[in-house]
Amino acid sequence: MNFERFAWWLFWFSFGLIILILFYGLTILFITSTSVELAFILGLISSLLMANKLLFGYGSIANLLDNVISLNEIKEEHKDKIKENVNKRFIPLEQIEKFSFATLISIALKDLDYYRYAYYSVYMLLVVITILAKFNLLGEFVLGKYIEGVFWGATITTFFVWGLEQLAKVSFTEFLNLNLSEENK
Amino acid sequence: MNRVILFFITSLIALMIGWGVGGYITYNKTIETVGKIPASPIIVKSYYDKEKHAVIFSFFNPGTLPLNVVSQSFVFKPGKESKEKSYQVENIPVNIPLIPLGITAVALKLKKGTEELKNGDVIMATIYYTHPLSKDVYSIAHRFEYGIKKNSPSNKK
Repeated sequence: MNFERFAWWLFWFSFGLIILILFYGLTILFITSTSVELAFILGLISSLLMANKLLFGYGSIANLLDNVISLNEIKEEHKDKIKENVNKRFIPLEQIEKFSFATLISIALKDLDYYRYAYYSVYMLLVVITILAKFNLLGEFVLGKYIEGVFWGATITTFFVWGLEQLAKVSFTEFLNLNLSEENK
Repeated sequence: MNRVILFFITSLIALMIGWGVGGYITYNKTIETVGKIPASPIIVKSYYDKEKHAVIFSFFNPGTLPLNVVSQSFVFKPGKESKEKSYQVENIPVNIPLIPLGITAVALKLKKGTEELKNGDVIMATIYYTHPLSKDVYSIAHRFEYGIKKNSPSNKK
């Protein structure tokens, strides 16, 4: 027991140290960054804020499905988690209780579509502006290289959004292929 | 699509995005750094144009700022075959901008009425240029020997 406590203490200490070093490094990076890197970081942060709902939505669904697939059964806690997501819609609670796990997940995936389309349209607008600036179609445009930095920052977030969305959908297909039965259906 | 295929596609896209981001940041940093270096032009090629009676220099400006050729002077040294017997010195004021990161051809017009260059004639050209960041005048001295190839081993001895 004593050794275990010591190991935990060591773990938290090193974890805190790593976080501290990370913050220190990020601060140094932010202070010493050139204007181009600053544009990149700002684009990354702002697009992360915009895609926040999508990232957490698809991430939680993929995580939940991964749990269900690895356990090979649908537990009550899994259903409760997805109910929280769907509850925010204007569906009566009694009706939600009747839905199966797969239905709840497809409703949650559908709900995220609005955010996904909004995010992708803003991103496409940014792509068009970047291409115009890159090929000097906006005239002598001084801000061109900064817009490109914002574009690269947003591209990373878009990649995460796309990857998590695909992962959630692939997991959903795999879950459907398992043909799991629910107890209280 | 299953998870394995998704993993490979995702990795490939991640590699390409990383390449793009790295290239973008590196390119802009390099351009910024090179822009701060005061460049000195070099003459990459020179030849004699018989019709125009001029020696033409190809200037390479390695910097990101345009340089300005203010004047050029030359010293003419006759070779064995030439009929001209004396040195000639001339200074011609010009105003030629050298484009950044590119090659500009500058013609050094020889005096009208003088004979064509013969084998073995030597022209020592001095080109004066200014840099936009300073008020000084810098110079390049270039030795042009007509008829004999440059860098040939027999020429050095």
